Amino acid sequence: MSALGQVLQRTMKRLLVLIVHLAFIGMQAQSSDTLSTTTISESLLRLEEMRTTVDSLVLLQSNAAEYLLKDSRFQLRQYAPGSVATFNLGGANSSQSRVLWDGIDISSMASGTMDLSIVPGILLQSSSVVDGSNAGSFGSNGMAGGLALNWTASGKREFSTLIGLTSIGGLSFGVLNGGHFGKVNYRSFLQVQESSNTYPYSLGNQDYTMNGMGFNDVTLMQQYNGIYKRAHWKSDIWFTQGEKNNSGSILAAGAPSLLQDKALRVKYSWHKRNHKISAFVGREWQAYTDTLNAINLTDTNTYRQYTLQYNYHTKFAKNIIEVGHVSAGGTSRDAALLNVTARHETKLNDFWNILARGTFWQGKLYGAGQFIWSSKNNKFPIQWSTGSFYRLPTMNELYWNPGGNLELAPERSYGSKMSALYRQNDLKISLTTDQLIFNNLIQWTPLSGGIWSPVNLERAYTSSSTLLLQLVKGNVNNEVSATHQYSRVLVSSNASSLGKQLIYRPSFQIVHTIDGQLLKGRLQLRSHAMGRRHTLRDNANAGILNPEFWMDLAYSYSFLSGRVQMTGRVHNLTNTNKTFIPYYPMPGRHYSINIKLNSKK
Amino acid sequence: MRIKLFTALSLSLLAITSCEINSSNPDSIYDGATLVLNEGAFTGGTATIQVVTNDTVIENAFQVENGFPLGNIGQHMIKADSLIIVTLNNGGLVRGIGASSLLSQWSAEVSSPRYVAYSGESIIVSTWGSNFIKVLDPFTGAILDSINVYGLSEAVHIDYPLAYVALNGGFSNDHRVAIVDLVTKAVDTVTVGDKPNSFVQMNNDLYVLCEGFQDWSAVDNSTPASLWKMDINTGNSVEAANAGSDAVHASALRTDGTHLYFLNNTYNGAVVSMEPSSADWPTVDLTASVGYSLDVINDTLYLHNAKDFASSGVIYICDKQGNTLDSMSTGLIPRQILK
Repeated sequence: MSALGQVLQRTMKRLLVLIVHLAFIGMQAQSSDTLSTTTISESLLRLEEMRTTVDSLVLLQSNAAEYLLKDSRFQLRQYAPGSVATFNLGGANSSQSRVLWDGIDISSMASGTMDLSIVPGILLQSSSVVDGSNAGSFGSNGMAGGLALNWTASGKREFSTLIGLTSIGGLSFGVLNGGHFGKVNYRSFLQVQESSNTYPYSLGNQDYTMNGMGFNDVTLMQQYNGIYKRAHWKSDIWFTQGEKNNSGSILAAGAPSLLQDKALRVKYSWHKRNHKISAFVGREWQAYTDTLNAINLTDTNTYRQYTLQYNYHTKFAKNIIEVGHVSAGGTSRDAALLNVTARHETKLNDFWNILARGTFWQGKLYGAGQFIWSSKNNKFPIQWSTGSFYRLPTMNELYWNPGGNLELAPERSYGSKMSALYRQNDLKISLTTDQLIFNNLIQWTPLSGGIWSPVNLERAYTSSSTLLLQLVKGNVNNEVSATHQYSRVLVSSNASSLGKQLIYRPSFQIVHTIDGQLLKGRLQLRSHAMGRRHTLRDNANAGILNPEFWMDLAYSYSFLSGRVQMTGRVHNLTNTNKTFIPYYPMPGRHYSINIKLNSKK
Repeated sequence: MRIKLFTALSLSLLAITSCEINSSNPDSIYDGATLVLNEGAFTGGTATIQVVTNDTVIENAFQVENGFPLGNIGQHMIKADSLIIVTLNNGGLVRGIGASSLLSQWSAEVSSPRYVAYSGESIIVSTWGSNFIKVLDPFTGAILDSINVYGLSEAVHIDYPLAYVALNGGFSNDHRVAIVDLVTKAVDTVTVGDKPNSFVQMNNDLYVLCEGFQDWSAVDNSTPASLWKMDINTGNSVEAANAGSDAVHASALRTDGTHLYFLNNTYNGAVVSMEPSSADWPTVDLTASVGYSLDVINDTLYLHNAKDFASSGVIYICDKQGNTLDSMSTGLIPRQILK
């Protein structure tokens, strides 16, 4: 370990002792009689996304993967529209970027990731993307960012029917219903969608039509909430069922393979004064069938998660204790583990906060934490944090048969983040930069006998900087989201990877959105530029995905006093050859219509 | 004016003559070049044919010449007269490629093709897609016949009119060699060790390397690698040597004419050698344990190292004692070299 690493490790140990002491004091503190307003650093210094009229409508009929392409911090990996989608933020990889649902980490501890293609856009808030090392302040296993999902039944009466059509064979139908009876608010969302994903693409000098990448899925969400004896309670159900075909890359023979997925997530929370208790149960079943004429290979995986979380907030401290039990079964693993996580954050003074996190997992204790400094300049606030976080080895990495490695150490990050915000009149600018070193990166490697096994192999440095600029002039909204990434592998067992860029990290992403009034509707033009990506660890030319530039055009129009909202979109107006994974082309220019029929004005 | 006309005519004549001189020497850069078949990435990658001459390396020569990629997972490559035949396992294709031009001449759709052999009249293709090996027309790629060998097939060796086809069970287990009479289409099977994967013929003996079965869900069911010797006159087979350990799974049997060479593991194997008459499994590693595949050409070992399977590979060029003489960078997951 480097000298820097040793110093940081010593610092972390001292910090943990301090945190345990402070946590004890915090637990002894008197609770206030009102709902707490968190004044500590969870309110990360950042701008919320600018949600245009078009965005607000298509959000209801998009999945998270599709919608978040508007954010340059979000880096997507997906085979075709609607197919399995993983993401990463701030230079981290998929399993280091977590997905939280109302504060509960729902990224699978079996695979470490979550498929964003089955996360409905309706769960995305305007501040859902949380990037940087500060993301550790709310996650239980994150290192460098995540997605905070939530939705709320406000009690407002609503009944909307959602219809979507695409020119590549897509059809969706949804119903959004909300209201209240007595003091109980409810909201439900049901959506079915399918697409044959039939679209043309070019391969070198030859033209083909994409087939065999179709999908269909069903999503049901239901929330009830209310107040009982001055306590807020909330119950949620989230069910998804999907089938996704994947005939392989366009170079493969097109033998059908099918991913079937069913997931049921149930959550209940109770919130009174400074106390909040949440209980979560999640069950997921997946089957992947690969067909090779005479051979059918089916791999079945099940995953269960039970989590109980207790939050205690005061004006100066925030404490969370989370107890979870996760189990992974199926063809290739069969194991269960207890997961206990404690987090404590204390406001030391007007400038300094400290955060500590510890997890008991696989019979071992892991610690993490960070210092956060915030300036009190209201015109030009700055926030700086530095610390270390971990990503625990997943059940697959520990118990996969064959190859699981029980000796794996967690991945660990050391780093700093600085954020600054500037507002003047109609102009808002935020600038964020993360500098992280990742140690013990886990990589699956072939060992003797043809068995692949995960090992702690690499150390890498990543630098990720994002500029977000929003300007509103009259009826015209402008937003620029620009992210630059630099990464290098510092330690690797493979000499040819040393000094090379991490794979699937574009050197830059820029998204510009301009939205304005045109006739009686609103016209939106969104331009995307994405830098070069490497897909081979030694950054060889053969694995380069070239820079891409594409534009999406949309027009949104309401009539019948707002009872009908309609948006027409031209996707990939520039007909660019878009690719997130080599030899899995995304569609060129295509079209869609989204309609929302409201029972109320 | 006359002078200009004369000059123009002279230059034209010179140009035409130059063209004639060039066209009378049609040597292609690919004639006599070394070809490397790289598997490419399993998920969404393309196999590549890398061309190496004395002063030039063309990393993806097939795509350079044809404008489209070779296909997903390059499995095996042979020369058949003026053609190069390549099987693309995931791509479900067998391609016939002009050896001098690397231009695609034909392609045949075969489900999960594995290995190819040339009988002088036809191309024999083994497959994991069905129990039927395919017989292709070398000039058009048309499938002339399908012969039931009663198992999923791997390596093919031809001693005309007989074709020896290793039946390895694909993702399962098998322990037979099918003997196919290419004239009468009669098929017989002979028992060998578990999962035969490669052949070497020395005089009247056909050596069959069997990697042994690897049962990842129940390790106790795994079986060790073994070497079998088959008398091609009688078709009788006997076990010549056995690795003894269920953890040893060997691959890529080759010969220099006097000794047998192979990798002592299917991934990250070391090169070992043994005399054909020996009954002892070789235990001395000639090279480091870095081999994914092996070729032996002109008394030289070519050890293919795929590194982490997500970076460019390397071929170590070694003498028969395993000493590294040189190395060459390759594409992703080098599998085979043809000289």
